[in-house]
Amino acid sequence: MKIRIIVSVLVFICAMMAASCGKEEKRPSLDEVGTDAPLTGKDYIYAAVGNACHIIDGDTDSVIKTIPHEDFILGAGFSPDGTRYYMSSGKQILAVDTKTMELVDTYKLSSDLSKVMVSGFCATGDGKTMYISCGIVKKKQNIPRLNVLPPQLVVYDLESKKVIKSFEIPYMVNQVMNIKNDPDHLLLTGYDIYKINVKTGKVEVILNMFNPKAGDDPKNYLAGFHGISPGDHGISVFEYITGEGLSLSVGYLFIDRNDGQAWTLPGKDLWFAYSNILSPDKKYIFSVMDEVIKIDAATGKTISFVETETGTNYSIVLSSDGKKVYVGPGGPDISVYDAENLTLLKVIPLDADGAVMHRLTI
Amino acid sequence: MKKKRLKALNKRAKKLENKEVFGMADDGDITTKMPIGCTTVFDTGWETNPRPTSPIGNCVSSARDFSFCSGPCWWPAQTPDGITNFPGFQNQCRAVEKDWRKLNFVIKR
Repeated sequence: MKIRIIVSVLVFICAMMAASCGKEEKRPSLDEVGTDAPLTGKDYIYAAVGNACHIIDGDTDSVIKTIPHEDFILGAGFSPDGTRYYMSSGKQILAVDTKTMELVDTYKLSSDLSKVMVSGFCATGDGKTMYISCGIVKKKQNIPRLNVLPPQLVVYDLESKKVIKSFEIPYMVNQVMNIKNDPDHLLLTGYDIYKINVKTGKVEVILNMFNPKAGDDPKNYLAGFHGISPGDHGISVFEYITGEGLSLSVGYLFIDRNDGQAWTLPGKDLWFAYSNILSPDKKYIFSVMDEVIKIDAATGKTISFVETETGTNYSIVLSSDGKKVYVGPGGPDISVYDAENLTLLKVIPLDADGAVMHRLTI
Repeated sequence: MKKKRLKALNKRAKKLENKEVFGMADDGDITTKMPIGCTTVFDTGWETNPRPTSPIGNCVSSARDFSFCSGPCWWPAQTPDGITNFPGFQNQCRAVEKDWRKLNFVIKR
């Protein structure tokens, strides 16, 4: 009897420890996840650079419209329905109407007494609300002190341009993502992968990355650039690095934006990439920094790679049919590669340096 | 000689003693309380690219990495601090590879 009690207590303690360390990682097959038929059609590439947003025709791969503004863009993304392209300079968010291809609104988030630094954002499907992860520093009048608030997820009403509410969130959250089948929750990428309830503000860890379970190495991942396209399969890929010194290795973090799952796949070769994207057929990962790399998404093995002719690039997107790979900007250009054999097809000149690029298919 | 600490005498002075600056108080593990400087996003210097094959090291060319490092303040000592001191940096030098002669962020003109 005593042994049974001791065993029960030990099982309970182990279960509690496992729960406190985050959920067990499940690695689904890519055939089982994501939208089966991603949207195909006419492609437009939106490239947000310093003081301009270029719109590139996906058929001719040439700039068809340049929208001037007065910011350096640090992050951008489409609304889920693709009607708006939002660009963040950190202090404010600019909105482009994708139908008229004009700048239609500016959401100023900072004021003289409250400095806001946006690190990630996403708009809701109805286009009324935006969720913004940010750091806020408040000045106090007459008192020479700054009040640095804990990181916040701000719920921002796009019509009234007012903050509805805000929740405290973990540090370093730099991507905020909608979950297609769960509008009450958002995915946050920070030290670990979190899910937040937008009604209560409750945050839960869905995958440990930088704070691993006992016995695992921390996984340091970069989620700074994110090539979400409205109507894509809903799977995002980021690269992580683990180990130290000569035993450094990379792997791939997959996030399913349909159901809010996350899992990892160890890589076979050491590549450092700023951005990664999963092909529409979910068979390949394409990565970029100083090379364009094609990786088998099921095994993590490198299929082929080519050094970029222009140099370092930050973002990567694929045409909706998966046949062309666009890498850039970094410097003032975007390079177009054949996705089959990684042959350079064209270099599209831009007006200025930048970092952010996304595809819209209509 | 032991230093005497100033004591607040009224309510307003006592307000100044509050540890309002989050993450600045010397009361624990500083690494879990970052950011403290102006780099606010989790990134450990991917651009250092320590793989064993060519090109080894930083971005190619470094000019292509300059503007974005400036914007969110990755390298605030080496590039113009785009958040606080040089928010309009892109106005004077839109493409660093071509316009580097226009760089004048060390001395404000």
